[in-house]
Amino acid sequence: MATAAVLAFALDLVTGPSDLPVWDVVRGLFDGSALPAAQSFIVRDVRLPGALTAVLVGAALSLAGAEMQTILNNPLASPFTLGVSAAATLGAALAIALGVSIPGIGEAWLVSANAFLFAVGSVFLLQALARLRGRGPETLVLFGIALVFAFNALVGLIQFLSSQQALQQLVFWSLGSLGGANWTSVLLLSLAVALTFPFSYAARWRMTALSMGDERARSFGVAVGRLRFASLIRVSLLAAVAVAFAGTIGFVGLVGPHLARLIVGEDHRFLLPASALSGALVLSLASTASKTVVPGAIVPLGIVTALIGVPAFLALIVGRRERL
Amino acid sequence: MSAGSQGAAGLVVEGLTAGYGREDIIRDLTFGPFLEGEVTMLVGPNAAGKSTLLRALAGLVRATGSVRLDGAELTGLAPAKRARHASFMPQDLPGRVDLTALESVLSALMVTPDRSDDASVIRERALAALERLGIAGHALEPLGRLSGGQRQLVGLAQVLAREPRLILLDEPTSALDLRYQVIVMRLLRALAAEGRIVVGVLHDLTLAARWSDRIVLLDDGAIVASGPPDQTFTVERLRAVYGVESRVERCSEGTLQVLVDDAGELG
Ligand SMILES: Nc1ncnc2c1ncn2[C@@H]1O[C@H](COP(=O)(O)OP(=O)(O)OP(=O)(O)O)[C@@H](O)[C@H]1O
Ligand SMILES: [Mg+2]
Repeated sequence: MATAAVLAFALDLVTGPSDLPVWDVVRGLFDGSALPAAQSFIVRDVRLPGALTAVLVGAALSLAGAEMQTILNNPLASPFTLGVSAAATLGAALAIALGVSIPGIGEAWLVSANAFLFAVGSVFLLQALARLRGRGPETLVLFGIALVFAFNALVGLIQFLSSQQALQQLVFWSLGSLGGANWTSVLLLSLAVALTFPFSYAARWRMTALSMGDERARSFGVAVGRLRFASLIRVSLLAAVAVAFAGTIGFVGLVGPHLARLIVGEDHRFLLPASALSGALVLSLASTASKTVVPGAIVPLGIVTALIGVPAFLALIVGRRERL
Repeated sequence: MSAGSQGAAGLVVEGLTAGYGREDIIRDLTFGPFLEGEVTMLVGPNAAGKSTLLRALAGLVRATGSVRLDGAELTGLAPAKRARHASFMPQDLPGRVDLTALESVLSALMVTPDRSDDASVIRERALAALERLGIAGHALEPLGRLSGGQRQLVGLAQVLAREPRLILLDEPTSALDLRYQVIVMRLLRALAAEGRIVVGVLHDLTLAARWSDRIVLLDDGAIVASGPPDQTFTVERLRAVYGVESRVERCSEGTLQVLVDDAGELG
């Protein structure tokens, strides 16, 4: 799977609207002076950060999705199940439509920063709500769904009130795009992944135990409530950063972990890294396709991800050894 | 064993009240000491509070009162610490998760990494536990493809591998065939003989009578009777607690049999 992810990354790198020959891309990467300045810029400051962002966003969302499916004990869960993306969209909408800003953050980062803050805020809100009642997965899901509806309603209200131009920008943002990728986004995404993965991986055994059910995990001595909370923080950090830089690319967080699970099973020693890889793979392929399916145009990434992911997913489900 | 020489050895419970939310299910139970080498079975009708009592001993439900193991208080210990002394097997079978039997036992061992043993030693321990339950041959099969009884054996292996002082098993034979019921009961005796305290729940009173040192008869959250099987199972008690007409007899070999002739009417 690692090999496939690297190949997809390479493929992503060599495709783009400017039709550079493959060889030029390779030369441009390794030797800054090999190409004319404009082409060199395309390779080094557009293609490379774009492709890296695809890998990182894919890995982040898929890793977050794997954790979410485990802590909610629900194969339909994704990083966005509990309102993280809805909250991020609300944050972005506020920034785009109303120019609501956070002091000290430049214009360029406004949308991302706002999306991020709202996403993280939603997790704390969720925890506060869940603490009022028991903390089982069902309670979390119910509160999460309530939050999703609340945020969506607020986004709708903003859309209703905002100008034509802001509306279009918002729709484009929410369809997902790597168009805004640059070295800063790559850096921040890498930081988020580098910061969370070690903690995810350290919890791998507890997560595996949790996949066998709350009571069993607790009987082994797992502090299930704390494990869920810590995991939710990681999920929201990953999802928030990914959404902030690439919009709401929902499907990868659902399908990435399933691809991984079909191959390595539920043991989180393998599931967590495999999910990150499969997410990177899916999104790299999607990014490549988004640049190639309609000649001369870039189709929004969120759409392509679903279009690519669904058939791959179905093929795997049909092809797997029979269970159940 | 562990410190605290005041108080008896073994499991001693005083004034244990436990329940869910605001509702108390078991009230003010006092019993013990249950000593190492002893197998105790909790019996009683559905919803009597047997599982709740085991959960309370394992520290998984809201509880007040004192649970002491070898003189050391367990109440208030952090989950990871407590699970080192007492391991609980839930009544539900392990789910049909995409984990191999071996992986599931490994995770039971690795969640509380109290030992510095290296990976191969831990793997050996997990395999040995599966071996003891006769399912080492299925170690690499996913739980989702095992039968109900096989999954119950895996659940037992998870507890066994953790090598706790206090073993708490909620209906350990509920999914097992005739032969494996006896194999597991014999194993419980062996575990007790190795210096552990075994407390379980059984619905099969004859099986419980044959293999336990002590029976605790629970009804509606309270202990109705407690003692050796032949003194605990009486026709009158079974009528009062279960509402059945039964015979308590000794077979030609001298072992106790509980035979139910009539279950009365519902309602
Ligand atoms: N998780 C729970 N939340 C709330 N109430 C519960 C919960 N589990 C059990 N109860 C209640 O506690 C009471 C005792 O249940 P418990 O599971 O301890 O019975 P039991 O003796 O193990 O019965 P069974 O033989 O059917 O397993 C029941 O009235 C039940 O409704
Ligand atoms: Mg029960």
